[in-house]
Amino acid sequence: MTRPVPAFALTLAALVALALALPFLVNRGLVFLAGLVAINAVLGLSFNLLFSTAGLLSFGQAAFSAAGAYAAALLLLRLPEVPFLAALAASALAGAGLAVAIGLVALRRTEGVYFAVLTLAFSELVHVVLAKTSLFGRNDGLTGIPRPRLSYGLGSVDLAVGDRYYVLVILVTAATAAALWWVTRSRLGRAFRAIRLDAMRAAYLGIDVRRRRLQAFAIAGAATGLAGALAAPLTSIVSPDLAHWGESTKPILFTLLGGAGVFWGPAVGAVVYAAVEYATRSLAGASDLITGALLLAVVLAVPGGILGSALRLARRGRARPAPRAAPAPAPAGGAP
Amino acid sequence: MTPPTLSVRGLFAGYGPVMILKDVALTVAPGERHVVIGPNGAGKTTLFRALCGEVPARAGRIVFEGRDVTGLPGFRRVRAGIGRSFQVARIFGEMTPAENVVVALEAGAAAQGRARPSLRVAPEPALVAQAEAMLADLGLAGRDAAPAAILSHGDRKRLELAMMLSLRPRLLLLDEPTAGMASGDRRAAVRLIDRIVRETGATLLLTEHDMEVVFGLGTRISVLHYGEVVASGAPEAVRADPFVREIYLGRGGRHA
Amino acid sequence: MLADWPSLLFNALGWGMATFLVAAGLTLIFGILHVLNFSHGGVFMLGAYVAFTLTRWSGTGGLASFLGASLLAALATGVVGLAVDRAVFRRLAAVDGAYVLVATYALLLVCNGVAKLVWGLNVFSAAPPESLMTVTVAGDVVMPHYALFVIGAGLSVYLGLEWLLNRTAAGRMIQAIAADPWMARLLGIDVGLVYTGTVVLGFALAGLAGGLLVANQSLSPDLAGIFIIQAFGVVIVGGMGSIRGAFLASLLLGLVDSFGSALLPSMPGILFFVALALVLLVRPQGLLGSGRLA
Repeated sequence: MTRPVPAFALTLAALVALALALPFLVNRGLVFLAGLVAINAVLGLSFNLLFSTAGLLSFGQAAFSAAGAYAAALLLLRLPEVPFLAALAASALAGAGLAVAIGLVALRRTEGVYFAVLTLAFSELVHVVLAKTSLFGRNDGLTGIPRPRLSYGLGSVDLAVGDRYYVLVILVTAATAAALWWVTRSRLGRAFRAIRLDAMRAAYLGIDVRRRRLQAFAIAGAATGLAGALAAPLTSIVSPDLAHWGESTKPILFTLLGGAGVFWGPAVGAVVYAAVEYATRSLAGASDLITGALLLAVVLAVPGGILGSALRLARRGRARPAPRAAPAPAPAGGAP
Repeated sequence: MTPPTLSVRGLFAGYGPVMILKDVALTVAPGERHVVIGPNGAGKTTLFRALCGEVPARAGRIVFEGRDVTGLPGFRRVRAGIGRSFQVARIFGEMTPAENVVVALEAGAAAQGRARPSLRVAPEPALVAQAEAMLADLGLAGRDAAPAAILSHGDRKRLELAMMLSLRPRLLLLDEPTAGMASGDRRAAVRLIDRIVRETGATLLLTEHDMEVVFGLGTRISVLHYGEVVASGAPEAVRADPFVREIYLGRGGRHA
Repeated sequence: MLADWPSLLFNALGWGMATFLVAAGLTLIFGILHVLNFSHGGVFMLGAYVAFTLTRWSGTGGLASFLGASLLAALATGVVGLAVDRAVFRRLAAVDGAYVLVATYALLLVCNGVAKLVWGLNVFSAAPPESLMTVTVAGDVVMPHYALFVIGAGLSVYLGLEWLLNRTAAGRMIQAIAADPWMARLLGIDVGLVYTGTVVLGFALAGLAGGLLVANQSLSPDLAGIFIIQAFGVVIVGGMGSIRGAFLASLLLGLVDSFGSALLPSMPGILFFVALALVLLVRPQGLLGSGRLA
C-alpha cells in the first residue's frame, strides 16, 4: 500500500514544478490561461470536498468565489495599504462567512434536489445584490484592479512585473490544495465521509451532522473565496457575472469530468475543460457541445470520470498477475 | 435510591395526523434487560424511534438517568450515553471495518472534548488498536483488507454492535437484533448480547419478535398493543397475564 | 407607492402566465419521472429560435403564421424529446439523483452549443404579430394585446393539461404512474411508453412556450438561463410535479415579483428568491405537494 502523505506531496511537488516551468516553455497568453486553470482547479477541489466527501451538491459556489473576488478587489482598490496576503485571508473569510450565512438556511434541507435549488437561489440573490449595489459597482463591477506588491521586512516584490503574479497564484493554489487534501484525509474528513455514506448512522454515533455539514460548507466556501480573490488581480476586473449560476456549474463540471471522489479529479477536469475551450475558441458553441457530450458520457458510461477511470484501469493492469476475488472498491473521497 | 435508567411517562408519538403511541409509560431499572413485544403494528418500532429521538414526542417525557431527554435530537441522546442499533444493520460500506469503528471512537472523543488538535491524516494508533481489539472481541478480526460492504448480514450486525459499544453507552437500544437470522445465528447473537451486557454492565432495552430471544434475554417484558402498554412485568407474570394470552392466542398465537 | 396596483396586478398576471408556459413541461416531467430537467430552458430557447426562423421565412407577420410557427417549434422539440428520452432519460433510472441533475445540465450545454453553432452569438429580436401590437387602456392600466395573448395562452395550456390529466384515460394512467409506478406496472400499464410520452409532451410544451414568448425577448443563447430559474421556482413552490400547484405558484410568484419590484425598485427580482427560500424552508413540499399530479 502506498503511504498517503509522501504520495500526495510528490504529486503536488511535480504539479508545482510543471506549472513553474511553463513560463519558460510557452507564450504569455498560455501562461495567463494556466493561472486561470490553477484557480479553476481550486474551485473544483473545494467543490469535490463538498460533493464527494461531505455529500452536498451545491449549485451556488459562484456566490462564494464572487464574495472572495469582490473582497480582494475592494481591498486592493480602496485600502492598498493592507498587505496582499492579509487581503487573501480576508477574502477566504468572506467566502466562509457567506457560506455559513447561506448554509444555516440551506442545510436545513439537504435531501434530494432541495439543497441544489436552495443554493442556486441564494447565489442568484447574491448576483442581484452585486449588480444593484453601488459599493460593488453595480452592473459594471469593479475595474482596474492592480496586481499587488508584496513587502515584508527584507524588501518588496512588485507582482505586476513579468510572470511574478502567476508564480504567486501557483504557490497559493498549491498551499490551498494541500490544505483541502489534509481536510479530506483528517479526522474531520472521516466524519464528513461518514455523514455522506449514512447521515442517520453518523448521527447515532453522536456526530452533530448539521454542524459538520456547515463546517464542510464553510471550508469549501473559504477555499472558493480564496480562488476568487486570486483571479481578481489576474483579470483586473470583477463583475456580477462572477456570481451568475452558470459559474456555479463550472466546478461541478470540472469535478465530474475529472473524476468525483478522486482528490485530483477536479484539477484534471479543469485542464481538460480549458483545453477544449482553447482548441475550439474560434468556433462558437463547439466547447459547449463538447463539454456537454463529455459530461453526459461521464454520467451515463464512465462514472469515475477521466482520472477515476484511469486509476481503475491502472489498478486492473497491476492486479492482472493475481486477480483479486473481490471487485476493486470505488475510490472513496480522496485517493492521492 | 438511584433513579431508573429510563423513565417514560405519558408518551404520545406518531406520523403526521396518525397518532401511534398513546400514553405510553415505561420504567427501566439499571441493569435491567427490558424487552418490548407486541403484535405487528402495535407500535414497537415507533416507540423505539421515539426513544432514540428519530420520531418527536408529541406529549410526555422521556427521562434518561434523571435527565429529561425528550427534546434532545438523536446525536445528543447518544452523547448522553444511549447506544442504538438499527433493525437492518447500518454501517459505512465504503470504509473498512476498522475505519467504521475508528469513526465511532473519534466521534466519541470529539463529543467529550477529548479530541486534541492534530495534523495527522491517519487515525491515532491508539484508536486503531482499540478498534482492532473491539473487532477481535466480537469475532471480526482479520477482515480489514476489504470494505465493510462485502461483510455478511451477521457480520454487519456485529460490526454495528462494535461501533455502538465503542462509545461505551450505559443504555443499549436494540431494534430486533436477531431479525432475519437463521436459528443457529440467532442463538449465537443472544449469547453475544448476553456477554456484552454482563461485561459492560449496560442496561438493555430491545424490541423482539422471536420468543426464544425474548425469554432467553429478558428480565422484564412490556407488551404493546395498539400503541398502549397493556402489561409490564417479569417474564412469567407476563406469560400468565390473561389479556396478553388473549391478544396472542386469540389471534393464532404465532407472532409475538 | 402602490397606487398603480391595477397595473402591478396586470404585470403579475403576465409574468405568471409566461412563467407557467415555461414551467408546465418542467412540472410534468418532474411529477412523473422525478427528474428536475435543467435542459428545459435550453429546449425552450431552441423552440424560440425555430419559431423565430420560421416566421422570418414566412414573412407575413400575421397571427396565424405566428401560431403555426409556435406549433411547428413544439413539434420539433417534441421530436428532440423522443431522441433525448431514448438516448439519455431511459439510462438515468439507475443513476444517483445528483448525477441525474448533472446529466440534464449537460443536455442544457448541448442545447446552448447547438444554438450557438446554428444561429451564432447574435442577439435577434422578434416583433409580436401585427394584430397584437395594439394596446387597450382600461382606467390607468395599459394592456398590450400581446401580453393579453400570453395570459390567454397560459390559461389555455393550464386548462388543457387539467383536462388531459383529469378527464382522459391517458391522464388517469399518467396519474397512476406518478402515484406508484410499481403498482401501475402490476396493473399492466406500459410505464415505459407513458414515460416516453411524458418526455415528448414536456419537451413539446417547452418548444411551444419558446415560440409563443419569442416576441419582445432578446433572442440569444443567454435566453436558456433566464427563464429556467423562474420555472424552477414555480415548480418548487407549486409542489414538485403538481400542475395545479405550478399554476398557483406562477400567479403567487408573479405577484411577489411585480409588487416586489415596485416596493424595492433598487433590487428588482430579489423578493422572488426570498420567497422561494422561505417556501422551501417553511413548506418544502410546496403549496400543493402531496405527491398528486393535478
